[in-house]
Amino acid sequence: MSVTLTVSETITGANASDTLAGGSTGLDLGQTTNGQYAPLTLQSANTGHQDIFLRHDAVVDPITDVKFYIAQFSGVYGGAGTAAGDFTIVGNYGAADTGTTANNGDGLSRGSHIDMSWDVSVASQFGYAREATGQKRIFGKSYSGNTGLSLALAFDMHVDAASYWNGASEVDATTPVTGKIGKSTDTVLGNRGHIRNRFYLHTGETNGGVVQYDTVCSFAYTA
Amino acid sequence: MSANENYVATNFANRWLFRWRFDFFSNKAPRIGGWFPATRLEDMASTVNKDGLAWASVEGKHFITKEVKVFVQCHGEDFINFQHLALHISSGGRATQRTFGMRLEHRYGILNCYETGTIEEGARGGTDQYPEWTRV
Repeated sequence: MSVTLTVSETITGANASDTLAGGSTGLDLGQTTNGQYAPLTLQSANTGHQDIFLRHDAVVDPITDVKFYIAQFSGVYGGAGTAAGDFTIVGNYGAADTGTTANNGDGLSRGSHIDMSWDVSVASQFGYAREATGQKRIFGKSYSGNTGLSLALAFDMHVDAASYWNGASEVDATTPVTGKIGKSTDTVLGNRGHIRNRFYLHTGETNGGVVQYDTVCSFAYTA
Repeated sequence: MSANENYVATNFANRWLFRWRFDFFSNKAPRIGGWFPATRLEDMASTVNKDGLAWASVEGKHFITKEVKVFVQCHGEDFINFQHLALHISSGGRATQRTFGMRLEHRYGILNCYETGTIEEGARGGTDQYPEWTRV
């Protein structure tokens, strides 16, 4: 049967529907300033992130090949420049990221970062050491040629993003698989993909205003 | 600076729609799926009895000309599964998604048929062997 994916800000919530500049709906990460990131709680403690949960209603098989990439904003554009320009800017941010600190303490981080481990610690989340494991990805930065800037170059959902919501709490999937999210009762693969998102600005940034882009989730399901 | 994201699909121009097809030995009638994902379990390819399966095919229909042709097919004994390829969309005040292709998964690999009319061949199950298959 047709399968519907839900991408929400809470584990049981509806699709993200923040009102964006221009009038479309999506996910508003909030404001940030040079040398920081959004969403930010306390920079020195490396706290603050946007949770993103994925779940689906398949009844036959798990969904597979769950991947992420960014694209030109497809809603009603309300940013400071142009939709095409913003996509280029965000991609270039990722390509130019030379940060080494998760909390942007060195001021060199930039662009859209995702951490694909549902229960990563506050101290470790978005740490650059996690790029080597595939848990952290920066859109626009090249990982063996994959930049996350197109469907063909999309980032696989890391195995550590898989979790299971038992109706009361979120727990580990027992044997998760990269890019797979199980059915609602699947404790083995898990029934959630849970990633974290931040948007970083480096200390020398000169652009201001709202930047808008699409983050796309691609997947496959049994016909 | 403020960062807005929209979890939406990319802007592929729709060119081809896809459906699955099973052809059987003897005089058993072929089973053919719809041009859009099934809404009932009994209409899914995965629920079809595959006994006597001769060929499994992905058929495409051109969005404008309505031409229908076979994109890929494999022998029945190599067939494993059909999958829809989908993108999640949530923009313009409503959440939805769309398909952008169909995958034929067979014993030794996968064949992705994209709405642009292109075909991509890939490995599955940790092997780089590819079976006999037909591109029409």
